[in-house]
Amino acid sequence: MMMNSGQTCSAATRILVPRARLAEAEEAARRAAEAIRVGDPRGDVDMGPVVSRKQFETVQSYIQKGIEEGARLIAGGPGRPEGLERGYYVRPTVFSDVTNDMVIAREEIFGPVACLLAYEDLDEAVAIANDSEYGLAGNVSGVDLELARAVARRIRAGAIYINGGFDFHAPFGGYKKSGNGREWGEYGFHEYLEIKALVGYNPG
Amino acid sequence: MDRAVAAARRAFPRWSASTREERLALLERILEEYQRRLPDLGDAITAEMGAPRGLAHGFQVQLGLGHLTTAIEVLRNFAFEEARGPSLIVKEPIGVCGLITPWNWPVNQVTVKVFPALATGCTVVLKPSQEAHFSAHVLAEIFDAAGVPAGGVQPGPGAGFRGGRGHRQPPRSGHGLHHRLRGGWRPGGHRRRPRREAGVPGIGGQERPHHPGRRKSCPNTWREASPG
Repeated sequence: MMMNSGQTCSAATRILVPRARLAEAEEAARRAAEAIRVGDPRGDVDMGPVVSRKQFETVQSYIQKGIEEGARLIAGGPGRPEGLERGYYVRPTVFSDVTNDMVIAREEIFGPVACLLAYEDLDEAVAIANDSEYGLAGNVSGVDLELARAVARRIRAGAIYINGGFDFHAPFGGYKKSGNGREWGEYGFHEYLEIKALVGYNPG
Repeated sequence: MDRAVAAARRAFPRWSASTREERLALLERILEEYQRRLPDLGDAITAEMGAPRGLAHGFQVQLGLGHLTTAIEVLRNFAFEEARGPSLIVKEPIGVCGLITPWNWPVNQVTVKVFPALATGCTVVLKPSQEAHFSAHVLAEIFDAAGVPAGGVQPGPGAGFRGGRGHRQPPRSGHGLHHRLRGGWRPGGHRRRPRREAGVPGIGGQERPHHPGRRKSCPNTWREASPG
């Protein structure tokens, strides 16, 4: 979800993991975040700045809010990455011990900030996933494809990407307060068309 | 903005009556030109919103390419007509589309709207994000070189609120503006007329921008859309 400095409407910002494997997930997330090279986008880096001062300040305020709410920093944090004194660069940040009532879980940060939320069983995971005002996109990852499919069906969002799936023909748009209508592929065409009935065109 | 809408309205009757083959031919020409301009698009994205080179020249521009080839594929077999008993159901272009796009995946956001719009026979007034509109200038050049009909695509870059407000003008007559409100829409509900139309170059047809001096803020030179 750190791609494009996290500025993606479908970014997987809430990462739900089984509580029994939380430590393992934290370690993987920490290593992934720390491996991201942030810097001048004209150079050989993985992540550039966020788009503007306003966006930088918004993301910084969310990171601060996460700390105040009691989420635990696994990687990154407030301020700029080491060695970058100016520019709207944000540290790739991961929080753990995030609960779904926290602001960082409920609002769209639109920056390189990931939240780890623990669940006890899949029913709880689905409940957490669906406890949102939004429903643009979700992801389900797992080695048991049948189980992943079943979980994907239970999530109320316009697109669920199973094990990193990608398809230009799949419609993109949201449930609830997310993206009205659908884009991408054939469904995207319908948004630009009126439907006319010519009744009696083929008299029987 | 009024002039952009007027040009798009003038182009609509002809483009909405175009054949599937004509639309496919246009999209194929855009594809050719798009591929030629890939490096310019990537550079523009890095400059406008800070995506690193690898991403800008990679996935960011590939998304636009993917939407284009997908639109071509879909258009080849799209069922514009469906016979049902005594009735024929036909799908007709909705009209002039006011497209307002956000800054985060700038080329993706423009292309995922403009290509289906053109493929279905609509004409377009495009208002890219004022925060990131360099790549939209390159796209406008691509559309121009490909021969998108005059008034087909009318980018109004960097006009900020003036452009945004202009989109909220109620249609005066004829085709309604089909608003696609997503991402960068700014609230406010202003209905007054834009103070001036300087933010709408590239108006198409035989017209000239009123304030060519504003081009200084743009990395690319605007060209008139080909007469259609």
